[in-house]
Amino acid sequence: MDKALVVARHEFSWLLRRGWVLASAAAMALLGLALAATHAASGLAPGFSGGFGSSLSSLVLLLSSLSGAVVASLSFAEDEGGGMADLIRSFGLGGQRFLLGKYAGILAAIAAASTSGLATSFAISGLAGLVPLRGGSGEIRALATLAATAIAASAVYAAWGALFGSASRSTLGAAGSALAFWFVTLFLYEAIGWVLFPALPYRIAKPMLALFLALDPAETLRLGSVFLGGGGAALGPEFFRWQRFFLGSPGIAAAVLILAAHLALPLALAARRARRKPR
Amino acid sequence: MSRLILASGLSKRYNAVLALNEVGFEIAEGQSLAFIGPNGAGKSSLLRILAGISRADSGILSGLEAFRAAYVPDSLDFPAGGSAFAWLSFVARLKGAAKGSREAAALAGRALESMGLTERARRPAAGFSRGMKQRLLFAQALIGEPDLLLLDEPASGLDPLWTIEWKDTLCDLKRAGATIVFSTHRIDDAFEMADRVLLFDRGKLLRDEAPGAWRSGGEIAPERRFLSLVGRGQPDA
Repeated sequence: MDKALVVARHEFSWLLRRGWVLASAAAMALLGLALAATHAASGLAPGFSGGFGSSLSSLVLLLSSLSGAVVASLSFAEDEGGGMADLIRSFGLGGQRFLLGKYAGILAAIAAASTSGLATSFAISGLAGLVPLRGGSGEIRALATLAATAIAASAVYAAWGALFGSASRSTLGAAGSALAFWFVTLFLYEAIGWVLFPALPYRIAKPMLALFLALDPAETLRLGSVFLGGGGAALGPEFFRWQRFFLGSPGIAAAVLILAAHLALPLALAARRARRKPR
Repeated sequence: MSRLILASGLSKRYNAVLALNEVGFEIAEGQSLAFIGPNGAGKSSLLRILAGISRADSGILSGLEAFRAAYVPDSLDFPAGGSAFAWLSFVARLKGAAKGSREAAALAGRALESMGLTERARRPAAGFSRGMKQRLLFAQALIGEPDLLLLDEPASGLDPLWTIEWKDTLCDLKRAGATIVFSTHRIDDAFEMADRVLLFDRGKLLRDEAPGAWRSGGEIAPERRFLSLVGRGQPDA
């Protein structure tokens, strides 16, 4: 078996043993159920493809990105600061392959946690009648969109976590940087847009806004989830046009490229660090 | 044909600190070398370069690829949660010594047994004492039947019983033909175990001689000679 794959398997099973996966899955399931109960109590729960689905999508983005950033940053920082990464390099495994193997293991663990939490929440809320399942392809598509959002958010934020963790020798510093990045990209970035764009003329603001949104991983994932779920029309004609574009073949290719860029940037920076390790 | 490791003009700088300054030496197959010197002398930096973890900024290092090297760091923070057995199984697979889980488990079991850690196999390695962690590190080094052992302060934290044990293990490995390079602050160990003792200070190799040559004349104790060579004392007659 390839050594990077050995690292990935070890990381996955180690995260399982530490309870990270179970804790993340439980958090996702419990919050999903709480959300379903709230929607049911207020009579706003038409099913996963309706309002409940959009609220759950925000929750999935929030939790998966947080788990990805924090777990990856802590795991990488522990290995770098504690000497484990160096010892493993002495086994003839290059820094970049170690990085990729470890990242793959972390991603698999967090994606498993998010999707199993979602599935649990789906099963219990459906059986308990909290969410009236309307059946059909709409519901399945809504669930697939939620799962895809969870995996994509885990992947992008775990990549940033890997960068912060491998750049820091203290777990506290790495987790702090990861949390700050998570907070800025999920909450502050949007606020900056609200301040910046109304002041600009419409013709300039329109293309700038598209670029602005594409540069932020959280906004990209949020919009991707909305477009994939078919909810873009509710945001206005401009978003409806974007949605139509992204659901076509050129749009899918563009979306894949944007997501790949969001993944590639932090991983390339972390790999560069691993290659020219100063110690 | 006998294998040989050659190092010539190795230098390594960490920002403003010159950790190694034009260091050169050779290691013949089956030899044991001890690196001695004060803290910050460059011993660990050199071992890290020999282990392939770090690269020298300049200089030539050749012959390492002909050996199956194993490295023991001076300390390691084991991740919380994983057992000693699980970690050694992982090491066995990562080193390519085991192809499947069963083989990895068998190798891990043997390595733990050789270091007297069988009873603690299922306990988290992070909770081990300093000496037990050192034994576990030594156990990982033995996996894969290495013929070149690079040991950074291998006896630190070991109790007297295990100090004797690891010395015996090293002697057995040496008799079996292994090449051993270790750093130590215990000058007695260096003179007892090594064929050659290399003294470093501030990144420079000051002396590279057989233990007998250090005692030439017989009047000056090696410890005194060590202190005088690194400028921390005068040799007594």
